[in-house]
Amino acid sequence: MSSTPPDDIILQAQGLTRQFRSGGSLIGGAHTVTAVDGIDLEIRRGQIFAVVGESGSGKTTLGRMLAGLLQPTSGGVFYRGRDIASLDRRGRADFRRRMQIVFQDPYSSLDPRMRIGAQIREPLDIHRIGTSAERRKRVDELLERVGMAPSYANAFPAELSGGQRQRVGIAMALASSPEVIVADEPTSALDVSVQAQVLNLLAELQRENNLTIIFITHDLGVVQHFSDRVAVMYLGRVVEEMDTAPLFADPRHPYTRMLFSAIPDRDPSRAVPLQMPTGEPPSPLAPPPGCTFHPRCPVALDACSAVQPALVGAGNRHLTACIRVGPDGARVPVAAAAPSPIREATLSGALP
Amino acid sequence: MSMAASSRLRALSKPTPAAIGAAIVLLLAALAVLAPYISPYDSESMDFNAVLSPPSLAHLFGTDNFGRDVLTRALFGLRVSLIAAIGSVAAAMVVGVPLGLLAGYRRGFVDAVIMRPVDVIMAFPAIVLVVALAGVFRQSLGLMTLAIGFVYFPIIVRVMRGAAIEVSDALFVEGARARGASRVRIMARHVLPNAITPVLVQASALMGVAILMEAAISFIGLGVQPPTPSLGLMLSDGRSYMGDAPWLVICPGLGILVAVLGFNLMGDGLPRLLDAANRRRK
Repeated sequence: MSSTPPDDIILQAQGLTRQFRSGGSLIGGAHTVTAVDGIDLEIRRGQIFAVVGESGSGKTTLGRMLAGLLQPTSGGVFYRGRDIASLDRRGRADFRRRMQIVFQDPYSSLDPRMRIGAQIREPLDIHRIGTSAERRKRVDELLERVGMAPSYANAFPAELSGGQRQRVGIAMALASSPEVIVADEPTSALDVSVQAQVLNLLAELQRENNLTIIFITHDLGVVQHFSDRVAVMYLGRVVEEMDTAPLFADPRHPYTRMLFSAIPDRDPSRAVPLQMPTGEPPSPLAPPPGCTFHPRCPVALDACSAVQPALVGAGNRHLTACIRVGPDGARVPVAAAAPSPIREATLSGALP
Repeated sequence: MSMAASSRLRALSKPTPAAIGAAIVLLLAALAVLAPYISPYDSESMDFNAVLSPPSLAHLFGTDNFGRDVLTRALFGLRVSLIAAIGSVAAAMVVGVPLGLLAGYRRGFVDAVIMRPVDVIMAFPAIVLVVALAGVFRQSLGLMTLAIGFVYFPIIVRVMRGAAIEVSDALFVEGARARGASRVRIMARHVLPNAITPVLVQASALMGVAILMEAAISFIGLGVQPPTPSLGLMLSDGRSYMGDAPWLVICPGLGILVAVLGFNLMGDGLPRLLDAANRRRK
């Protein structure tokens, strides 16, 4: 595996896998859950890279591994071409300074017994950035930059609203001048009106500082407007990865298409291309054989339960993991296989 | 917000059990500190013209078998009790809080290395351990205080560890780790302030227990030595005259009762008190 990527690739995952043991007791044996299963990613500098998926798809686990908060079971995360697991002391300190995380829940991500100013200042204290006076000034600037009065530096988290807390969370992440921010559903705990403000703030900050943002979410509407590139996750694997605009224009994987069909459209006359996803995702304790999506897939073939499709693609770096999508992006003709007629009925309007 | 703030202020100003407990403790502490100045007599001077005299205007709580003023001796005895209580609990916290914090935050091997010896100490009945320690070492107030502290530090370790385990799972601790904070910083700046409340409650309750413990040790003659007054020693000495001169045991007994009650009441309301103080703006 190459670890010398092009210069503009700031973060890379290679074969990233994480397993958890669960349910172990004296009587019953422990099960192994594979939350993230062999993911390869290349994230370019200055990109907003969205990771979308349902609950339990492993997107948060992926984000925590990319942020260096969780050790992968196998595979590795490479920051500027260097494996973060093998960084020396100084390298790790630098990584901790340049990689920041914004958590989903702004109610538990702030220390309830520490004043806001001290929390924003902490990264500066940790990495010994600037003099004491400069740090104080930077805290005021950061608060203003995220749209809060500097007087909030003296407040405790309990005095703030959810939106204000998440602004503080963003200010904390910005304090040490990071290059990459992992934002794990930063808006899903907030009111809708506040969500837009926080997202706009993130987008502005991204442009100002040429930040790379790994944006983990289940909200496709947000992804469409906010991100440059999207990876769609299903049961621990990436099933499709593509730049945002072309992906939304031309989703290829059946799961992606189902997800997109779930986005409410303002124009009711537009046809719903595929049926909504049916049923729950299968238990990650016992994932289905072959393509893990096949039990819910309207266009599944018999072969889908036998072969796990690789994430492949051709031009335009459009990657898809589906045997019904050819490597050139063309869909395998329906007639080429022998699917069940009932499923084909659902399919007829769906795959051109 | 302002409604919540004012209701908290009201909660603080209402005479809650906690406030009453805190007031009792403060009052007793003031009495103990000021004992040499406010007590009507000298604690060790004897007056053989007034042996075992009942309570009167001259001697509010009577005199003992050497003609010493019981109130004066009780005030000085309170001093000894509070020094033993505060000293022993402080010693237990100085040792117990860092150990419990470390065990709870690090878990695993570090946890086991700290907790197994602590469990061994905990397995001994407290009074037996203190009596053994008090018997081995020269009898003095300082050593007795340390002995009581030694018996109670495992309790502090356990409470601190439990609270630290809970707080260590919080998102803000993971966030601090993500920002590159050192272990020491995370434990001192994030885990400790959020986990200390139950430890303080436990410490307050232990103060009451330590007062009883000091009284018990002095009662059986292994603690403070005469003629230094101690509440426990006064009970012990007064026991023989209890039928004729009940005031000899009533006064120190009441002292112990009120002090223990004060510490326990204070401990009960401590979490709310600390929380309210912390949440107030600026």
